[in-house]
Amino acid sequence: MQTAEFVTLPFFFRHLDNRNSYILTNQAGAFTFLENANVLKNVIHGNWSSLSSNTLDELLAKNFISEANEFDARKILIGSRFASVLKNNITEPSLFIVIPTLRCHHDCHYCQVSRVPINKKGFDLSRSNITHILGIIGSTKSSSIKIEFQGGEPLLSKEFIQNFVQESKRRLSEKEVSFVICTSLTDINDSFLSWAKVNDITFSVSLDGHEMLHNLNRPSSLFNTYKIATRNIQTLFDSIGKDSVSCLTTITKDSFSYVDEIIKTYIDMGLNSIFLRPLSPFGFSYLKMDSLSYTAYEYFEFYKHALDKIIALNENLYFVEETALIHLNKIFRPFHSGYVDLRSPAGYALGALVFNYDGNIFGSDEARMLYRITHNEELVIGKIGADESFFNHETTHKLLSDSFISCTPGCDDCAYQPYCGADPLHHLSTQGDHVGNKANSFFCKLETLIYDHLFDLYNNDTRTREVFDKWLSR
Amino acid sequence: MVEPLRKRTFSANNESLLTGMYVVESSNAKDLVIPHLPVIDKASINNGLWSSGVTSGDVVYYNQSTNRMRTILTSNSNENTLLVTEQCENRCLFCSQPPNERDDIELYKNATLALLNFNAESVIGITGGEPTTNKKAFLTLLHQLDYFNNKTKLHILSHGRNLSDINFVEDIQKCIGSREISWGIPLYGHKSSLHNRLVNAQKAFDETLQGIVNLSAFGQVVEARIVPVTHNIHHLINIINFLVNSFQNIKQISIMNLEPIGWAKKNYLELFVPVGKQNVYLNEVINICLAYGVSIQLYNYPLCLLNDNLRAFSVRSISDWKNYYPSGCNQCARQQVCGGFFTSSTGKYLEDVEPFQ
Repeated sequence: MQTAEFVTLPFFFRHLDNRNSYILTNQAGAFTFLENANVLKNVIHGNWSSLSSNTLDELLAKNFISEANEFDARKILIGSRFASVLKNNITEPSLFIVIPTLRCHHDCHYCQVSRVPINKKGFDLSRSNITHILGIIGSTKSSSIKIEFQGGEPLLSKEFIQNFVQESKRRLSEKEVSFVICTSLTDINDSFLSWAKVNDITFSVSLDGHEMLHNLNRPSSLFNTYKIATRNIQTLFDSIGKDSVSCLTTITKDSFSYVDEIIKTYIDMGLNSIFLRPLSPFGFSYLKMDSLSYTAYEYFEFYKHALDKIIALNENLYFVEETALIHLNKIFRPFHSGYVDLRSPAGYALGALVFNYDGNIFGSDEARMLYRITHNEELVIGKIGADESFFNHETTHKLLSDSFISCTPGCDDCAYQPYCGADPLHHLSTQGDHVGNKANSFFCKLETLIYDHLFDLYNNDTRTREVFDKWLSR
Repeated sequence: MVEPLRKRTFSANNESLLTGMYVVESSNAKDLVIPHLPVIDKASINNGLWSSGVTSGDVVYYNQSTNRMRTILTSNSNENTLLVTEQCENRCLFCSQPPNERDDIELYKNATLALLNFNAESVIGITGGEPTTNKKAFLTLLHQLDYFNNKTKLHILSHGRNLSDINFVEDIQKCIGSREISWGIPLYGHKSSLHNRLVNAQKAFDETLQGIVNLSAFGQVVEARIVPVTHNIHHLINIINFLVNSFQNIKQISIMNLEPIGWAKKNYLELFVPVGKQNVYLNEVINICLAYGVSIQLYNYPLCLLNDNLRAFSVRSISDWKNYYPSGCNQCARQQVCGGFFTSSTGKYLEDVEPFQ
């Protein structure tokens, strides 16, 4: 091999406590590991002769260093990748969330949207708004979009949803549209199911675990919510098909003791994935923060334990943990970032628009949740049928400018910056500003722990790596 | 010389034809007549002297002095490729088509005529030499296709160096119109000291990288090609890591086993790595491509010599006119799905096969 002069390219590094090693990353999204601090020092100080040729070639392959004569070309590679990821995140929204009603028959302690009881008046979106909403959606450029009905319990407004879907087939014929109803599935009937089947509607359903835990997390004064949810999931499987339902799990303090039961509930239902999510600091869970909340470390201990069990299960079956897969996709598929909550700039208004029951337009689901408890008018970026210039709204501009994590404090030097995103609403809710002090941020703490763990597993455990590769190539 | 699956050149004594290019017309492939475009001279023949393998609509070249006919583009082939020049800036140690600096501008012209008259629905490969060495001729080819409203999809095999000129890429973009184009660009190393040595040219690495980035700026998609040889086989994992971490428009990586012809034949002993010894390196890179969502294909690898888990990535890649199965393959149960060998792989250039039961 001819000896060459090397130059370092810009990179981030982070100590991995578990193995006393270091992870290196760069703005192009590459990562590698160095076995100890001495090797890191040699890279930083350019002691090339002290580094093995294997290490040098690995660093060259991933653009951490450059042969001296090719520096300009490599600089362009990194710059072009970084620019492309940014550009990919500066999009027109492709997720449209419609809130037909805030009414719901559940009394969940952690309700993030602060639902109202089923008979309460004044919490429904009137049908006359459908034309305006479809006009807005039709004027955006995304050709493939998702329309999500959330609540409250959207199925308390079946007629609104059916009208909306019917009307959108006509008005949005140029776009490829998929419809999702986020529901507890409490209230379904045969005619609605056959309509849903014909119209390719899919359902996103909360299932928090086994009967005891689900009913504890998601109580209702009216019925046993677990029994109804599981029975109706089965009904959907039988009548529409397995692909029509995905489930998600909100993890409470009470959930911590029931890892096995939660996973078993999902496996027994015949589901092939689970989406473990912490509580968000909005709605009732915000108001009752002290009694409900936990630290990022506490949640992570639970999550790690659950992920270990799920990975082990994959010896014999295909069963995905969606939070892990979202993060793996951020690492390995930087150019298709479908997930609006881990983007830089944030997915606020660029990824999603929310049409609330009260006619207000928000840039994210979290924004409408926070508005519900704070009534802060600055969060409202438009009114259906009246003010539809949300892209030019001052709040949109301010919030997005604060969400480029390559230049926000606490993120600008973080090794996980290339894979992470901004969560301005989380920080607004917990700390009062869009950026927040990352040392006190639940979001930051948890993301860091998750990335530490995923990288550790990927690098050191061949079995897990095979499972991750299998999930990624889904 | 062994018999290929399809003969590209054959005897075709015909007194009414002058040397030149013709389009086959009529269903029994007896007549060659002028097509509808004003670009090929009017001519026709009427005889059935020449052998099978040509269909109505095919483009052929007749040489009067040798009485031989060569298919240029045929719907009977698994792969149609047009050579537009023999000139090239690189001097790859394993070049299968060693460059020739003579003025060969007529090759661009013939390729244009062939494309216009064949009007394929399938992808046609443009190769060299280096198709972009003569920038003006390359642009003219694209421009003429567009002018005659020809929609042929093209796969262009290029070293990408001339694409480092952003103005040139912009000019290409203007000539492309709505045409589907993909680029095949070889990268033999993850660092200039390796790549430049194998292509035997200064600056090649930097220019090729810039070229791929420039294509990306215009949304053009690239297939990266790697030829594993003695010098780079142990860096295969580094090259793959480099590709998936440096670009965003590389959607496919093709690893191409050496074709023992041209300079590859001359330098064979220095370059060649038996497939049995490549397996361990190929194994390492498959999973990286899966994780990063880049499709990977193995070209020119006989199935029996690949590890079992690699066989799914092997494709029948060798053009039929230079493809054959040696006698050892006669009893093989998987010959139908195997890519076989180059007709140039004979004698010491042929690896021993292990036929499937």
